[in-house]
Amino acid sequence: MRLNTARLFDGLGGNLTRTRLRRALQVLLAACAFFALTGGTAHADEQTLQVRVQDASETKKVPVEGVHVVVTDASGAVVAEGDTDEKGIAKITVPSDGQFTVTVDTSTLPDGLTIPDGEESRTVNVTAGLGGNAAFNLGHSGPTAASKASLFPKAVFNGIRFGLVIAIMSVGLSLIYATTGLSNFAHAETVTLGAAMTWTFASWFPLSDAAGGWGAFGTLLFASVLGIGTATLFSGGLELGVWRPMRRRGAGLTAMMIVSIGIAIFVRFAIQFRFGSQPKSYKQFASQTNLNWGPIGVTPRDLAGAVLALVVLLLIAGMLMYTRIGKAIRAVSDNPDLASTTGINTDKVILTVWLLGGALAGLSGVIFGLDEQVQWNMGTRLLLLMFAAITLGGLGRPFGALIGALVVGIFVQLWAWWFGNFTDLKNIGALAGMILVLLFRPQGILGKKERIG
Amino acid sequence: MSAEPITDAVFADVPNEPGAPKPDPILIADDVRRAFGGLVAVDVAHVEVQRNTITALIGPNGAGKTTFFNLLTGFDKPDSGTWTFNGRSMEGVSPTKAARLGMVRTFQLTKSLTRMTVLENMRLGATQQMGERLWAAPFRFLWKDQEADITTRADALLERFKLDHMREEFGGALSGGQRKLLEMARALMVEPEMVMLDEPMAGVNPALKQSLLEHVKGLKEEGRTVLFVEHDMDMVHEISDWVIVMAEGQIIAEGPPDFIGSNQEVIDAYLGAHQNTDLGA
Amino acid sequence: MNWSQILSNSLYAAFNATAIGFCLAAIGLNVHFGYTGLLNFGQAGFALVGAYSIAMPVHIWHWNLFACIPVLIVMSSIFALLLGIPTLRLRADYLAIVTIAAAEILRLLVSTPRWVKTTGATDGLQNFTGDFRNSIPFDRPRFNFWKTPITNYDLWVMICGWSLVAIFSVLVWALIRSPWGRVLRSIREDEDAARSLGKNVFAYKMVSLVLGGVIGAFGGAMLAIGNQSANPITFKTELTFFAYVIVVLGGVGKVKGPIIGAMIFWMVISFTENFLAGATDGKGFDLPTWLVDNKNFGFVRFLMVGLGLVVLVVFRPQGIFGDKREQAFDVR
Repeated sequence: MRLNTARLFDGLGGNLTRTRLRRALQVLLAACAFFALTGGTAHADEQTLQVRVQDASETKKVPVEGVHVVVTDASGAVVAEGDTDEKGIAKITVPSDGQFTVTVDTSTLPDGLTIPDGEESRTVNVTAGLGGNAAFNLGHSGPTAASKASLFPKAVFNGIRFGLVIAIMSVGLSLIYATTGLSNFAHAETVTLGAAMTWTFASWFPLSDAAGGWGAFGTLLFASVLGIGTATLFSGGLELGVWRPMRRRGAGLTAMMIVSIGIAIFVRFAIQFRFGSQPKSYKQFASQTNLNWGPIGVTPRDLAGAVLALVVLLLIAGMLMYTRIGKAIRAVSDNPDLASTTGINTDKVILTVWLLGGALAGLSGVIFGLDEQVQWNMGTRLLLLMFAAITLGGLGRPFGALIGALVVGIFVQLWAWWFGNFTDLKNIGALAGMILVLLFRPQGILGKKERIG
Repeated sequence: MSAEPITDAVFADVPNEPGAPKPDPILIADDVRRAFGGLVAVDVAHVEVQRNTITALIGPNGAGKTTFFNLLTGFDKPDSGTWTFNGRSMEGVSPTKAARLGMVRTFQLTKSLTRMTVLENMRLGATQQMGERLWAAPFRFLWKDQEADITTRADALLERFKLDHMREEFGGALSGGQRKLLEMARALMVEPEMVMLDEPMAGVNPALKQSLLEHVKGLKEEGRTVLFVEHDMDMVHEISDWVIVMAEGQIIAEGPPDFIGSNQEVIDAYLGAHQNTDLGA
Repeated sequence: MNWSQILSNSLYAAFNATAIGFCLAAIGLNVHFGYTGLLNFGQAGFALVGAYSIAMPVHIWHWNLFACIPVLIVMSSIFALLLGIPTLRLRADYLAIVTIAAAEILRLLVSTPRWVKTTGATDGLQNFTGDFRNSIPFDRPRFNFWKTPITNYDLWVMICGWSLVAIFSVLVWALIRSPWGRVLRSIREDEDAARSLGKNVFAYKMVSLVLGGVIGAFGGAMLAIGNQSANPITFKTELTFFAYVIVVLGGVGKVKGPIIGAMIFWMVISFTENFLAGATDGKGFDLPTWLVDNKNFGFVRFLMVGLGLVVLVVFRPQGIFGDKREQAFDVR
C-alpha cells in the first residue's frame, strides 16, 4: 500500500517551468495592482441590475416577493423600476453602466417586515458586461418608539429571569474556580447533561400527557430529580475520577483546563450522538397563557423557574454565610493551604463543591430547557456568558458571580430590546462589555487585588 | 565559622536608630506605604541602604519584608511614597527597568526555570543581548560571538557556585539549595550594582549554607551592595554589616548586628510583646 | 467495505487543505502556548481574520487575492494588539477568557445578516479564489492521490500550503533556538523570574501573540482557499480546541509538533469517518444500529477528539512521540 508518488506528481513535468515563470510574473503584477480598484468608463449599453430582497431576521434567509424597487441615476431622475419575484429577485434593466441608487418602496413591504433605518436605498456600481447587484435584508418590524418604551419593563424583567438562570450556573462554576483554581469548561456540558437527561426521563415516564395539570408536573418533578442527580453524579465523578488524581500528581492548572476542554468536547458530542441534533421542548408545558401585570407578561412555567432560581440562590448564599460547610468552602477558596492546616478536610470540601456545582448546573439546565428548548449545545452557547458573569463579578468570588450574572442577563435582554430586529448580536454586547470591564477594572466588580512574590 | 562579625568603618558615625542617615546611600525610601484591604503591610517612614555593604532586613513573620522588597523592585505598587536608587527616582518603575538599572532580586520561593537547563538559566541573565532582538534572532551569525562570551561568563560563575557539574541538567532536577545558588548566580549574570536576596537560606541544607554565606560576602568584595531578608539569625550575625528591623510594616530599629541582638524593641517585636508590658519587664 | 479507498482517503486527509490550515493554526498556537505559555483560546478568531482579510477585499473591491496578503498580516496583528493590550499584564486565565470571547464576537459579527453585502453572513463569501486558480502552474486538470481523485486546484493548494508550513516552521525554529526564544521560554516557565532579570515580558508576550496570530491567520486563509469559501461555521471555537489537540498530539513546544499532530489528527478523523460511513451503509460489514447508525456516525469523530485530548494530557502530555523529560507544560 505504498503511495505512488510518481503517479501523484506526473503531468507536472514539462509545462512547469514555462508556466511557473508566467504565473510568478502575474502574481507580482497583481501585487503591484494593490490599489487598482474598478473604475467605470462610460458605455452607452443597457445593463442588468439585479436586486434581491430577503427576510434576514432568521438564520435561514427567506426571499420576499412583491417588493417595489426604484432605480435613480446620479441626478435623482428615475431610470427604471421593478418588483421582486417569488425568488425575491427583481431584474431591472438600466440604460448604461455607472452609478445608480436603488431604493426600496417601504410601503410595499409585507406586514411585519421592515428595513433598518437608513438602509432603504443604496448606491450600486453597474459594470459593463457584469451588471450590478444590490441586496436588501429585512428584519421583523421594530416596535415604534412609544411601544418600545413600554416594552422596557418587560425587557428588564426577562433580563432578571435570564440572569437568575445564568447565576445558578455561574455560582457553581465560580465556587469550583475559587476552591480549585480551575476554569472548568465542562461546566457547560453539566448544564446540558442535566437538561437532556431530564427531558429524556420525562419522555420515559409520562404520568400524563395532558398539558399542564398535576400529572405533567409530577413527571417533570420526577424527571428533574433524576436529571439533576445525573449532573451531580457526573460532576462529582469527575472530581473523584479525574481532578483529584490529577491534583495528587501535582498537575498544573493549564493541563487541567485543557483536560476539562477535552471532557467538554467528549460529553457534548456524546449527547449529540445519543440525544440527536434537534432541539426538543416539553410539550406538556408548551402552550401556557401569560400572567399579566401591567406591561410584564410571563407564563406560569417561566415565573416558577425564576422564583425557584431565586430561592435556590438565597439558599446557597445562606449556606455560604452561615453553615459549617459554607464557611469551610470560603476558607478553602481564600487559602487552601491555610485551611488544611486548620483542620479542614480540603478534599471533602472540594468534592462538596463539585457535587453542589453539578446539581446547580443540572437545575439551571432544567429551568433553561423549560424556558426555551433542550438542545445538545445549549450549555456551550451559555458558557461564554457564564465566564463573562464570573469575570465581571471577580474571578473566584461566588457573590460576584451572582451580581455579574444579573448584569449579563439584563444587559443581553436590554441589548435585544434596543436593537430589536438583530437579536443574533445580543451576546456580543455582554462579551464586549466583559472585555471593557477587564480593561478598566481587571479584578472585576467584587474582586480583590493580588499580592505577588 | 568566622567568629568576628564584619564591622564596616562607614557605619562608625551612623546612629543606631530607625531611619538613620548613611554616608553614601545607594537606596533611599521615604513614606512608602502599602495596604491590602484594611491591613497595612508596609509603612516605612524613612530608610537608607549604604552602598557596598551587606544589609540585613529582619523581622517577624508578616512584618512586610517581602512586600517591601516587591515595592522596591517594582513587582508591587505602593499606595504612596517615593524611593530613589543611585539618586534616580524609582516611582512607577517596572521590575524590568529596575533590573536594568542595576537592582536585581531573587525570590523567597525560587524561580529557577525548571524546563530549561542550568546553562540556559544562566545565559538568560545576561543583558544587552543582540540575539534577544526579534529582527536579529533568526540570524545566528549576528549573535553567535556574543553567545560564546556569555557562555564563558556563565561557566565561570557556575564553577564559582559549584554548579558546573549540573550545567546541562534541567532546572527542575536541582535540589532546593542548588536552586538558591543558581538563582543567585543567575542574578549575577545581570551584573547588578545591588543584589536583593529574599530569604537566601530558606530550605538550604546546612552543608550548603556555609558556601552560600561565602558567596554573599564575595558579592560585597566585588563592590556590590547586598540587601537580604533572612530569618536565620546566625547568618545575619555572621555576614551583615548593618541590620534593619521591621515589624508590622514599620522600621522599628537599625544598627550593627550586635546592637540589634540586645535591643529590647526587637526582642519585644519577635516575642509579640508589644501589648503586654508585663512580659517585657 | 473498500479498505484501500478508505486508507487512501485517510492518507489524503493528512495532506489536504484542512490539514494545512489546522497545521498553521497549530504552529501559531504552539508559539503562544508551547513556547510562551500564553493561553490563547481564540485561535479561531485569528483564523477568521485571515480568511476574511483575503476574501473581503476581493469580494468588495475586486482586489487581487495575493495583494490581500499584507491586509491579512496587518489585520491579524491589529487583532493581536487589541487582545494583548488589556490582558497580557493580567493573569493567564484572563487572556484565555478574553480571546475566546473576542473570537466568538468576530464570528457573530460576520454571521449577522446586517452586513450581508460585506460578509456574506452565514453563507460566507465565495468566488474570491480566482487569482489563486489562475496561478496554478499545471495544465492537467485532474490527478490521483493514490486512489483519491483530486483536482489541480487541490494539488496547488497542497503545494503552496505545505510551503507555507515549511517557511513558518523554519522561522519558528530559528527564533526559538535564539536568545529571543530563550526569553520566550523563560516567560513560559516563570514570567516574574524573567522580569527580575530585566526582560521586558510584556513586549515579548505581545510579539509572540502577534507572530502566532499572523501564522494562525495564514491557516485560516488556507482553509478558506481550500474550501473556496470563507464561512463563519469554519471558525467556531472548536477550531481552537482542535488546534490544541493537534499541538498536544504532536508535542507541545516542539517545532515538528504541529506538523505531526495535524497529519495524525486528520488522518484519524478521516479514517473514522470513512470507516463508520462504510460500516453503517447497510452493505457488507455493518456495525449494529443500536450502537451507531448512518445518521449519527458523524458525531463519533468529535467524541473521539474529546476523549483523545483527555487521554493525551493525562497519560502522554509530552505528545505521542515526545520525551517525558522535555514536555513543555506542567503535567507531572
